[in-house]
Amino acid sequence: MKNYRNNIKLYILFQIQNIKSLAQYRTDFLMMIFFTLFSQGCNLGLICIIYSNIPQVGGWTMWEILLLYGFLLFSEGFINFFFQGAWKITNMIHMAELDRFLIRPVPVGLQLLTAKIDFDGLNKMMIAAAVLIMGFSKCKVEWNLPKILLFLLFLAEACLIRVCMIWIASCVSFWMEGRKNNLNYFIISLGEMAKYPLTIYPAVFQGIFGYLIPYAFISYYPIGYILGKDGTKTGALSIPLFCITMLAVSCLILKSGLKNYESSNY
Amino acid sequence: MIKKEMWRNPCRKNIKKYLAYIRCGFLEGCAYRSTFITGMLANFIQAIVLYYVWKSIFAYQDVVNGYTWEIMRQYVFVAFLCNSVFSMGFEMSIAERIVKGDIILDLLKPLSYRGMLFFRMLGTAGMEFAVTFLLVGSIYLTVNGVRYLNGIRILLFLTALLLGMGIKFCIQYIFSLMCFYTDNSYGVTKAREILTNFFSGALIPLAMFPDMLRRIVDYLPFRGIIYTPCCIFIGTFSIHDSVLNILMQAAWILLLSLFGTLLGKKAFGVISMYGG
Repeated sequence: MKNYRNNIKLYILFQIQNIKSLAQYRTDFLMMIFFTLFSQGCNLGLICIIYSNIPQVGGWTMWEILLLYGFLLFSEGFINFFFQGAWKITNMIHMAELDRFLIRPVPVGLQLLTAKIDFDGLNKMMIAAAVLIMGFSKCKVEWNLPKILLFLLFLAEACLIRVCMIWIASCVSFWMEGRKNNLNYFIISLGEMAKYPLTIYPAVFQGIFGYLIPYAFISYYPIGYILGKDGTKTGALSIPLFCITMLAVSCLILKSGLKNYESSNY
Repeated sequence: MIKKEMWRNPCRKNIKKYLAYIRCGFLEGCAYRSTFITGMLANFIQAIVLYYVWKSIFAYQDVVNGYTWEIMRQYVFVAFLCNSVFSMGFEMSIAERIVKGDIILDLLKPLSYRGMLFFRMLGTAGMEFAVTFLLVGSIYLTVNGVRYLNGIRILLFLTALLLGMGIKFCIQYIFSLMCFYTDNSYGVTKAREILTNFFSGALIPLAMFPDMLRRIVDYLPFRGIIYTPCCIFIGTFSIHDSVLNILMQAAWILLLSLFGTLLGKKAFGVISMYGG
């Protein structure tokens, strides 16, 4: 138990150091903040533009689609802010920077997760929260305590699944040599598909998103369940199962990856 | 004797140097092909998403803002093609070189910096162009067949596509010069990507924008990158309009490169070195 508390303390300390390092490139930082706002504005604008021409996509109204988007954006911001280090694994393995981590008396996973911070994430989470609040106020959902709790649980699960996805994709670098591992970029760009309801895609893609790369569990099933859409119940209820599986796979892959790791002597 | 000849023919000598850079860019493109492939896959996923979103939209109605499903289907394909050609951004690598101090090696070379970047990009783009063209072309033919193809339009389309690449290069160059001020590339790259993606019509035809926004977009250079070649190809522009739009692209290239030159003069002055 004490170990746990210690690790959390360390995590916070690492993150504070990361935040300090942001002051290094001030202009770029400000530009980034501005352009995150701008880019999210563009993305939301795109949805609004599509809907200004038509009433609905696959039976979903604009506000419902915005909820999907909010979930996706929130989980993305969450990774960016809290666990952006997952992106750096490839580079660290390639440059043998991992050696530095291995000799410290701190869990390697913790150090890897805090290797980097992306302040963008906070920005994104705030925008996503605003989108979610706006979206839910326009949709007819009967709120009660269990539903609110369920919503928070879904959000947490979405973040968790997302982190695990990036983590697993990045950890593949333990076996793939090379300067870049493009699997995680690929995974991120697949997220594009989760912006719209699963039902508009043909069966093949539905299978891929439902099971292989579980993006449907991040946005479609939870939101669909809250809104009371058909065919989302079983999906929503099996989310915890997916979470546990993904966590277990993440732990396993790190363990066996580290076993496999041989410093590149760069 | 040989020296004298070379001195007499500076142009030819330069061309040889630049050819070396084209080759270098081409080889670079081949070596880092996984970057290109993931970039293309990302674009491809976007195209698939848009394809199915539009498909589900057109299941409810036949015409959206003057676009039918037939036209929209082509638009999605051609936009993907235009987006994939020359996908590489060079701001990242420039910023890395600035931070590390390696940029001085580029500036010391007896070539113009922009020329070097341009020919390098040309080499890489050549590789990407060939691959994308074969791939998208064959997908297009299997989905749509040859019934929409038309000789003059294809010629105009290719011209517009090349000019669009030119505009993209100019914009990237200007943004990469900003790295001299910010010393990092994350924000800059992002800014450029968003601006080009949204205002070039990569995601949605500009004709669907609300009126106000549309009028603004018409005066921006971004539309030349994707919207113009797309519209020429799918036939929304008449031949007369197409030629006008191509001329406009050329004018933008001139204007942007002039701006790039001016900005370059200033930017190279503020460079600060951290060792090297």
